[in-house]
Amino acid sequence: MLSFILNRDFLSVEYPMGSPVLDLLRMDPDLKGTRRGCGEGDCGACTVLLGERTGSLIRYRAVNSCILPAGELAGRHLLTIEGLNRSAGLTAVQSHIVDQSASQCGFCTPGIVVSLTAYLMGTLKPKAEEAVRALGGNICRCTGYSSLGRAAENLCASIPESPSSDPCSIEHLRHLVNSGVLPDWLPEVAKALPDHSQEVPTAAASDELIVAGGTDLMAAEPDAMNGIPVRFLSRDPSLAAISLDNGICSIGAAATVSDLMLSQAAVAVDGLEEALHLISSKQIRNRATVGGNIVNASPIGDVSVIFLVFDTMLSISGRFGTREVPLREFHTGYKEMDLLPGEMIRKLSLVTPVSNAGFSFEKVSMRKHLDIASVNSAALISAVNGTVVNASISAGGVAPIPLHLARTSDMLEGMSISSETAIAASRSAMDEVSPIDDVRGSAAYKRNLLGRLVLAHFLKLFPRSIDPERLLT
Amino acid sequence: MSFHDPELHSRGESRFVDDLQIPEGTLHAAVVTSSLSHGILEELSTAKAEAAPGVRAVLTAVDIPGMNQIGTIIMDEPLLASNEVSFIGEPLAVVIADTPALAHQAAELVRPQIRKLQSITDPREAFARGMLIAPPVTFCIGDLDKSWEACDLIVKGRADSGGQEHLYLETQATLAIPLENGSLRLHSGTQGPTYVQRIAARVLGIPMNMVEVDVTRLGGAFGGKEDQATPWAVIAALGAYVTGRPVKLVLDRGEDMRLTGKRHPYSSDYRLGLSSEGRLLVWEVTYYQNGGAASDLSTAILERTLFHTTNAYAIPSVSATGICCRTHLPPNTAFRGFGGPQAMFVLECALRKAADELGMTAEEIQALNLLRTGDIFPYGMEYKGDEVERSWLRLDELHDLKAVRKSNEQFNLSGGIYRRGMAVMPVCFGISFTNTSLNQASALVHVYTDGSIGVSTGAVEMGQGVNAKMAAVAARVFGVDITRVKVETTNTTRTANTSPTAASSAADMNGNAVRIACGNILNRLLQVAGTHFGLGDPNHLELRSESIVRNGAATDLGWEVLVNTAYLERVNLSSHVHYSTPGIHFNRDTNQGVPFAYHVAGAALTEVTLDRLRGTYTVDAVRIVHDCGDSIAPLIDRGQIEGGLLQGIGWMTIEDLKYDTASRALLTDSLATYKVPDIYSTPADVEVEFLECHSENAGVFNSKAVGEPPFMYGIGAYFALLDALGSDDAERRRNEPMTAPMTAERLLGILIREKRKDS
Repeated sequence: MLSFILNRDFLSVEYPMGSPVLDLLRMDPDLKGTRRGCGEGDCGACTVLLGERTGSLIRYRAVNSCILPAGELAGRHLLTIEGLNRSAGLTAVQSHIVDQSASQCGFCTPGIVVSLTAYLMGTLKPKAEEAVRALGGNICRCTGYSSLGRAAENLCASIPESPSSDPCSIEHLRHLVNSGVLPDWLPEVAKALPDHSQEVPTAAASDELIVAGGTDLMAAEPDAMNGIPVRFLSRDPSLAAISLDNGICSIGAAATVSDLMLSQAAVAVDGLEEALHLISSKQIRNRATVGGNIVNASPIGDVSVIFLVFDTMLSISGRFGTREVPLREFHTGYKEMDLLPGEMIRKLSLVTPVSNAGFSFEKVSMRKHLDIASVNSAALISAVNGTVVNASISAGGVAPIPLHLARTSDMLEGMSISSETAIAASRSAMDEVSPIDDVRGSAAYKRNLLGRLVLAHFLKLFPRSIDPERLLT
Repeated sequence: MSFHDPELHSRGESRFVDDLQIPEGTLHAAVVTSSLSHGILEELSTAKAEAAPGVRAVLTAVDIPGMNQIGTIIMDEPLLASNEVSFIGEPLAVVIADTPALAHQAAELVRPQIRKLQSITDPREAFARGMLIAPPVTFCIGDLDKSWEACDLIVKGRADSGGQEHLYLETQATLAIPLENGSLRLHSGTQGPTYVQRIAARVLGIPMNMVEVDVTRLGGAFGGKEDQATPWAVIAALGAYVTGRPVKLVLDRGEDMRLTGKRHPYSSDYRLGLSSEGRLLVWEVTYYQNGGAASDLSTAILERTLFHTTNAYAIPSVSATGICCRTHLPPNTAFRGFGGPQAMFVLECALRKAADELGMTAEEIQALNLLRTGDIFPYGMEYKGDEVERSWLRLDELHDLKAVRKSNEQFNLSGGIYRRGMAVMPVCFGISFTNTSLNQASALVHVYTDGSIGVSTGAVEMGQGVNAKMAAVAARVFGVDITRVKVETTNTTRTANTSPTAASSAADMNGNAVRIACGNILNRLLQVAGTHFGLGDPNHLELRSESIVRNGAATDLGWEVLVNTAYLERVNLSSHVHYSTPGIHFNRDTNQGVPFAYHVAGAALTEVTLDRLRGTYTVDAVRIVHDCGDSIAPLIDRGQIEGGLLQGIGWMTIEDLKYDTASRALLTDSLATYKVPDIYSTPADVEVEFLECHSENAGVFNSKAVGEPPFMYGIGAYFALLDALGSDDAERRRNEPMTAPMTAERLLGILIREKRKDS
């Protein structure tokens, strides 16, 4: 039995835990505003809000209902476009969209309203630029987005700064009720949510499927959870903890990319938050986990490629206890990894970079956002007096696994920072990889692109020592 | 409270086919399709599927009661293949079951045996093998031989443009409901309700009056539901007809992308002759159109390519040939611009090449050759407007094109990895269906006794705001508040024999029909008011702000009282009006005539920044001056311009269809692999200015059509990127075909080869 709050109603329904929430919604004739555009989290037409209470904090996030397993609803608040609607008139988000004629065919519009509402629920002082970013996961084929940009701008200008100090507070929800963004009943319903931190995680069973964000699994194999026991890692808050202590950063494997972006870790590494913005969309970052991206083992996994440069250790636990495995040794072949049945990654540990180290992440895809990279690459290079003390470069999309470019990284040690060194590193990296032709590009393109991205790392990290013209000739 | 479309959309309360409450007992269809691109269907065993749980019927070609034929222009496309299969995704059988999941599961059990034959997917290869959908067509004007002799420079080359997936957010969908006595009602997501009605009747072997097609709205279409909503609607109709139960068919995204046709890829050879000062003298071009496996609308699309072969330029001698090639791909189809963009791309390629050779800027050649009033198009029509030149001049006045180029040059000299580029894209697009007979529309207007108004037309709302425009026209004619007007669904029993909502012309034609229909009722109401005031002649009466105005002064005779009075006096409060665009004709023997009611023009300046290191770019700004006539809905028209622009930019840059080299299966069959522009892809700066209207236009209340022309501003993105590549790329441009889309992969290929040549 699945018990949760759907808009204003407390519900208990029999429904398969692994089936998409979108299917559940679309069975209800009164809930047709959440639309199926693609079924794999790539269009945002099915965006809903998922609310969760932890102590006195209540957090709502936009998620794609097409790749949200129903089991994740238990004890949470599912808010759809119908829940946001007022009985008469429009919400502030809706009226700005209407005023700018920022809805044409209208199929995607409810998802856009939900995404903008979610943005306002997560911020105290709305900014147009951020509101636009919140629509990165919403595809509209009609408007060209210009009118949506104007609507977002007017919307943000119309919402006063929140008197609250935390966007996850009841006070902030009340502020949004007063600003015409949320229905007046919402704060009371939100308060009635069970406390997530009091949940007792169920003991692991051997035959169960462990699901973190499920964003890839639900898109690739929608039926994967049919008829088998599922364990949702989001039920164990300890698995999502992120801490920074004496330069050691510990990241729970079930922390979402959004969690990571808002954490101390993102502050500690210059450039990390911006890099994480290049991962998928807001809706997916709200669900996709750090550990999930590593276990997914995609050769192009952004999280893997980023953390490879930090000499990250993985804590893996299973029936026989806990063991530590360096991330660089974790992936062993295409979609193969050092993980036994029943084992799972619990956390990542890494030493935050020393002050003379610079971090860089580069990603080129067909479309800059919400796209899988043709090639991605990270670099962490520390230099003293113009000489490389330590270098670590990784690359995705150029081998069967997310690759730490050990040879290139080692080679750089002791070399002076110069255009020649950058070019040498670029050539070395190109020699170190084995890309294949696929829908993301030809092997030749990927190899060349990696070479260029390695140059880009140097240019970005050492702009004064590198001559861009030299790199290009 | 009455909500119009935008309010309903924002509340998630507008209803699309998949949102309709289905009748009790509704069954669901799944389509079995060919997995080979060409072959002979030797066996189609349905027994296993028929025995599967929940299956009510498995239908193949033999179960079709009427004609197994869905072609519109040329009868060359079966609904369900029975012998030869000619593309991957061609429907072979239909499973009707209790749920969509059961239907799909059973569909997997139908195992077609297909003997593989060689498949051809390249249009030039198809042409070489004589695989043509129709004989080549040539538009010709001027004395070519003489013109070639007069040229100081002749450039020639090849230009290829890719296909484009429509990616309407609502996939193809129909709910077919059997009514009494063998009749059917189809709730179809189609731009062409009459097409669906005609072909459903043909396939079922029943008269058209037994098929009612009703369309509330479409979740995007862009041409992809003009002809290609039909097969899915007819399959659902067949299922309902055979089982006697409602049948629903909604394609999932992957099916929609694999099974339906796209914008036509073109491969073209051209030759352009110029004088030394850059005047265009002669243009010769051959377009190889990749039509796919069936004709669909290909011949009409190819014809529009020929109509727009010279775009916004005056060229005295032209020979343009279009070859409609049959290949083993899903039949390609209408897509915003309808062959126009493909033509304009080729000419712009030639202009860039000529500019390289003459040492001129592209803008210098473009400006010198813009169409002026009185110039003659290659199809013999005189250009009556002046908007082509005026929009260019206004763009220059607003943004100083030379200054932009100069500032870019300076920036590009400053070193670093970034290069700026610019391009101006003028557009001149003819408005009307080029098939003259389609230029007709109708409206049925009812005024109810409480003063509310219902408007039915042949136009289908698909996001372009045609309903809002129809309501605005009715409110304007009656002088009442727009909230009184409800625009009804598009329904073949209220407006019959409709043309598809296409060719940008639905608001023009249906709007004029609404205007006249409302005018008819208004005249009757004024007569009633005249009698009320004891006047023999109601000439001095008007309806304004919901009341009768007499000699310019308001009276106390309000709209509702007037309407009710008219009813009591047994006055007809309804009007049905048919409208046909006047003055157009075209002779297909000579390819000369006046096919268009008028032309829409405009010009766009596109500015890009190229990252020479990564092979990536941003489109920084697009500044547009566009001719909307006297717009009746400026915000809607602006939305059409901005939306069309970004679709055009997508076509030219990131939208790249990829097929498996061996099987020819579509690889980019999901939103994960086929990328359309997102909010980050929008240029940071999109400026739109409406050109001042000086002319009288055939559009309603002197407005002009707006749907398609802005798409072609997007072509500027390609040429702005070429501009950013600069002179380093000139040698490649001289020797190699120009190919769109300009993907990041293609860009880096150019940049890296350029590097090798230097070193």
